[in-house]
Parts: sequence; structure tokens; C-alpha cells
Amino acid sequence: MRKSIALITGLLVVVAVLYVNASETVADGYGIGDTVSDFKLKSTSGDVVSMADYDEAKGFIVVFTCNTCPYAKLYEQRIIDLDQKFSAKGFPVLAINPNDITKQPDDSMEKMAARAKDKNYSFPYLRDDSQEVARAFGASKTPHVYVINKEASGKLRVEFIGAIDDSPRDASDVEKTYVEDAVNALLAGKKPTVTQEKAIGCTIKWKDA
Amino acid sequence: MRFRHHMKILFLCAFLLTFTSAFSQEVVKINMDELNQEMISDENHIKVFNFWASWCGPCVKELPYFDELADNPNLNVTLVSLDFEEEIKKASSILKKKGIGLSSYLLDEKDFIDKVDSSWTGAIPATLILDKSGNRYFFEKAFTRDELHQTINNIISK
Repeated sequence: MRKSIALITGLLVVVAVLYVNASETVADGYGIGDTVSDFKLKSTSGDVVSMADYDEAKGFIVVFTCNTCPYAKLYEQRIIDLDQKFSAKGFPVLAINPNDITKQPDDSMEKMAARAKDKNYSFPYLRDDSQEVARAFGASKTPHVYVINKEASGKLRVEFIGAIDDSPRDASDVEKTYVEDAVNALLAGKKPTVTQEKAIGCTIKWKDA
Repeated sequence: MRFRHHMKILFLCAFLLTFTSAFSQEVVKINMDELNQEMISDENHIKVFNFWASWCGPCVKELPYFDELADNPNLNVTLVSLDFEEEIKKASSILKKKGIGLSSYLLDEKDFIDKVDSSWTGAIPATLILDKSGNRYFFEKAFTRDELHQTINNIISK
């Protein structure tokens, strides 16, 4: 009897610990050094895009962004510039819009396609309808950037999280180019010196639970 | 007669101007060091700091709930706009349009996010609550009216 009580108590503790850990992982998303699971998301061009599609890539600049957030709009041209600068070097931009369209109708696939066409996006603009990718990453706002390095083993590892640079308002007032610096470090075979930088952004419009 | 009439209008205008400026919501620039001085707990009040911006829909939506909190004498509510400095008028016109009685600070500088709370990723709306014994509660989310009252009640009853 005693033994079985001990066993049951033990099991309960294990279950509780597993449960707490599982919920923490979901809430926190990826940290620096974590490996990333690939995703499959539909782009404005109708293609389904995965990181695995990019054989030649050395890594990725994953940007959670949207049509509607003023901060995302302030950074739009800089996101386009990042892709033009780094795609050919092996670090393409993948832009992901996770906003719930019932809360933000202007983030619909149609509106996204219009935006991508209008601004001539050179990178895929993907919709995360289920919001599972944003949750897996732990993205909380737009814009929210993850620089991912593809290692020799093929493992995708998070090496930078956060802001593109230190001047949302004015691209000409930038003193620190966080994402560029991180990608340049990785291209040079080094670890980025700055791995996290915060900036203000719009809360991702989550679906109601 | 005519002169008197003009004087009357002039006085009326002057009166209206004084009246409206006294009641229009001020948005005042603040820097992080000054704000830090205010983000110190007070044994007589629960302090509530709400970070918002005129361009942030969910922030503007919850402003009236924070304004209502200010009626509670146990609470000290501070609004902090994260609008750019040149948009200070836009911030104050939002307060006016929404009928917010509280004034607001405007904080426009680099690298302040961790100084408010290290768990803040930078999404707004965000709210920091300091209870009377110095405990900090940070929320990176939008509140409904009920959630906000519930949260405050929970902290008061602790």
C-alpha cells in the first residue's frame, strides 16, 4: 500500500514537472542557441515555403511582420534592403505575418499579396494562419526578428533575436545595425557579439482562445 | 456700444481659452531617469504605469479603463506614451478624443525597455504595477475592463 502511494505520488510529481516544462516551452519560444523546427507556410504567391526549400542557404533572417503595425511599416524598406543585401550571400529574408485577420482584416492574404506586389518584395511573405509558428518561435510583436544559422549538420540554430536596428523612426539615424552585424558575424564564421536587442512593436493579434 | 460688444467677445474668448487649456490633457516629455524616480513603490498607493502610443489600437482601447482606475484613491495611475517626440500633439489629441482625464508622459529614447522590466520584449500595450510593499507585476498584454479590475483587486487583496 505504502509502496503504491509512493509510486503514485512519484508519478504525479513527474507529470507535474513535465506539464510545467511543456507549458514554459510554449510560452517562451526559442532562445539563443535553440534549434529551430522547420515550418510550412503559404506565401502570397501561392507557394508553400519551408526553410528546407533553400538548399544553398547558410541561414535565414526570419521576420515576424505585418501590413498594419506602424512600426512594421517604418521597417518595411529596411526589411527589403536586408533581403537584397544578404539573400545572395546566403541569408534570405522570410517574412511571416501571424496576425489574426478577424482582429486585423488588413492582414489578410489578399491584402498581404497587394502589399508585397506594391512594394516589390524580393522575399516570400508568408501567412501563419494557425499562429503555431509565431508561438513556436515565441514571437510577441511585429516586427520581431530571428537570425538563424544553418550549421554543417543541417541544424538550424537561433543566433540573434530582436530588433533590426536602434532607430525605428528614422533609418538615417541608425547607430547600431543589430541584424546586419549578426548576419555578418555568421558569414565570417563567428558568433554574433550582440544576440538580443529589444525594440517597441505592436503586440501580435492572437486569436481568442 | 460696439466697443463693449467686442470686449465681451474678447473676454469670452479669453475665458474659453483658459478653460480649455486647463482641462486639455497634457502630454509631457520625460526621460528614463526621471521615470525611474517615479517607478519606486509608495506605501500609501499602488502605482500603475501604462505604456501606450497613439498608433497602437489595443492601447488606445484600454486607456479609458486606466482612466477609471484613477478614481480610486488607493491607486496612482501614470500613462506613458511611447510616441515619437514630434507626435506629441497626436498623443494629446487621442487623450482628448477619448475623454481621458489623466495626463500622460511621453518617453522617446533608446534602450529603456529593460529598465522598465527585463521580461518585456517590447510589445505594447504593457503595464507595470507596483504594490505598496514594493512587489512588481508586469503585463505585456491588453486588458479588458474586467481583467484590469480583477488584476488590481487581486493585488490589493494580497
